[in-house]
Amino acid sequence: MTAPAASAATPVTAQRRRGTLRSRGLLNGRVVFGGTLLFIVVAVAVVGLVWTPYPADATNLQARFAAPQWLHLIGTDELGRDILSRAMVGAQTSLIISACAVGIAAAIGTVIGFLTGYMRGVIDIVLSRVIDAMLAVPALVVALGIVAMLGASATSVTVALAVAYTPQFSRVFRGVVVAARDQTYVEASRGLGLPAIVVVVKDLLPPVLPIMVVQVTTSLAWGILDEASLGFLGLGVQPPAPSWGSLLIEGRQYMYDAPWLPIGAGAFVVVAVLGVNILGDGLRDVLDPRAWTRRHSYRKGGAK
Amino acid sequence: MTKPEVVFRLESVTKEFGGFRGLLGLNRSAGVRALDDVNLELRRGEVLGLVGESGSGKTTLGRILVGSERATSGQVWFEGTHAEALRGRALRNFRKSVQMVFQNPFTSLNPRRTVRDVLHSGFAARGLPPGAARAAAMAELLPKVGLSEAMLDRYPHEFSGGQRQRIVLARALTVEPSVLVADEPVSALDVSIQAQILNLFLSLRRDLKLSIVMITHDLRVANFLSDRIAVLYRGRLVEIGTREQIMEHSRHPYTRMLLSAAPTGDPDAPHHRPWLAGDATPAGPMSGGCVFHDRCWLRKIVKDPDRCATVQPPLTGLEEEHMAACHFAEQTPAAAEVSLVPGEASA
Repeated sequence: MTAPAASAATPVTAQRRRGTLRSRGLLNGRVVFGGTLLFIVVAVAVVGLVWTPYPADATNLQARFAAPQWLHLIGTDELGRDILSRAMVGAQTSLIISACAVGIAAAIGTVIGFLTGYMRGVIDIVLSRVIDAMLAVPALVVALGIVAMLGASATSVTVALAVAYTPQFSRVFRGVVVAARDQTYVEASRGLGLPAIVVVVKDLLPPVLPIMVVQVTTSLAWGILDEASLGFLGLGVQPPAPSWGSLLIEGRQYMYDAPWLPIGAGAFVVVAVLGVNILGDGLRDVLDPRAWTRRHSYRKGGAK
Repeated sequence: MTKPEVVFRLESVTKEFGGFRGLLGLNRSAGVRALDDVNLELRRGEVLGLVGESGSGKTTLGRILVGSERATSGQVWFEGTHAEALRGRALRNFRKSVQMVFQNPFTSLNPRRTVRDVLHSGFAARGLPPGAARAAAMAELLPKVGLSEAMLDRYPHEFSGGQRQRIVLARALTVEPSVLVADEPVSALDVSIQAQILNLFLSLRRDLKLSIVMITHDLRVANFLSDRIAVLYRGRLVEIGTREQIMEHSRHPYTRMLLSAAPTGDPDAPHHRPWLAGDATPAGPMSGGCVFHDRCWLRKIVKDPDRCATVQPPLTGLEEEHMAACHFAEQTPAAAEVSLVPGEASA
């Protein structure tokens, strides 16, 4: 238990201790490492906007299935197209579609999660059953249906994935909100006569944030892969326009003869997903003041 | 004698849990009656002790007072207005006027918010603009509860239980309430800290003219703070009176039983507990009659009359301020002397 003497430290000491803890929290290794990975991936995508080693869809039948070498760093595919160039251009499609879809899903999911979790009552019953129904159908099938309605394009894929991911977000957030709203400190805030929106922002949003970080990072990874699956089914970005997912899926059939095809595209996906996940993990700790002090003796429930 | 101003008046307040929540037909039980026909008033500037065992409904009563819970039937009057009919701004003003201090200071503070942030929320609720006004209010508030400026930027986990309870009190005081409802405010604290917090309540009451409802199972706490004490048993008010009347001349056999159960702190003191029998929770649904009749020691002494098992005794006045709900309230003090004979104590 925290000794009263320790808490009664002089203001100067307390202030200095707080500063170091805060900076240590923000600059923890995972945030730096994950951020670096993500930065590299985004940088590759941005460079791909203005320069690639070769045009992304330039075929070169002399150099079909070229193994990684100086001229083609990740090798070439069955039409002799440079994989690195295609991956750089494909990064834009993959990252933008995934990020937009997850962003929209997180925003709508947050609103629905808080509406159902905080308001309860009829809103909760109706919306939660709709969410249940949507969760009963696999996300990819929902997305398939939506793309089929809207027609194949990057926009419709984004919308479809956003709709498909929303139920997961709202379901997870609802659970956190339901658990948090019964906390005594939420009752205390309401008792102060604060408007509901202030209680939500001050007391209910903070516990949701770490969960949101985790959910966003996993969804971003799924977004990249699901975009690829839709493309594979002919409903996503149409060939020959590249995306990581389409590169991965096209490369899969040459797995044994030219392993660099799936591995090259896969490496980008792995680095991006890893970066996002590690960054998310680090951010989650930054968001929790209790994690700033190492193994702090936080006690839940008092002596009874 | 001028009549003291009444802050809260409860008129036959009854609260049932469950029962109604059967939308999908899963829960059709009749519901649990946490409060049954409670009539009570809180006067301006007094400390009213609310004592009873676990499950007696004392916390539910406190939650009804602050507006966290609504009575199933009966009326709650606050300063002459019907509290449960309030809406919008009037409701928020009412909630500010009546603040709760919670039992467990480890769960009643958000672990992710600094003390300053929490207190500023209270000032915002009171309508103070950020800046000089809040700084002044803060400078005025902190000494009252024994906190210092240096503690403001810390998080709850950096404080001990007693300090946290001071923070909880500070939060309640940010909105300048006229009533504090304290739900077992010291039961989660070390005994050495309890006295500090109880003294803090007394000084706040003196300086801020607060009315305080002190919910507790600990008769020593009620004895230390209260002007009047109300005793609840299974949701019913069984006895109410001044501190002396309850602590020294109680007329209800249940109050006597509670008093006999309290430890004295002296291991050599004679501890006759002839009345401690039975469990607080009834085995089956109550079949009518006095709520206490199945555990009552007095009933045996007065030869087990039918009345006890069939008629709920009303709360009747015995002397000024003192009321008890027992058919044989007149005989309790004498009977208690009889049953304290050492020979019966071991039986």
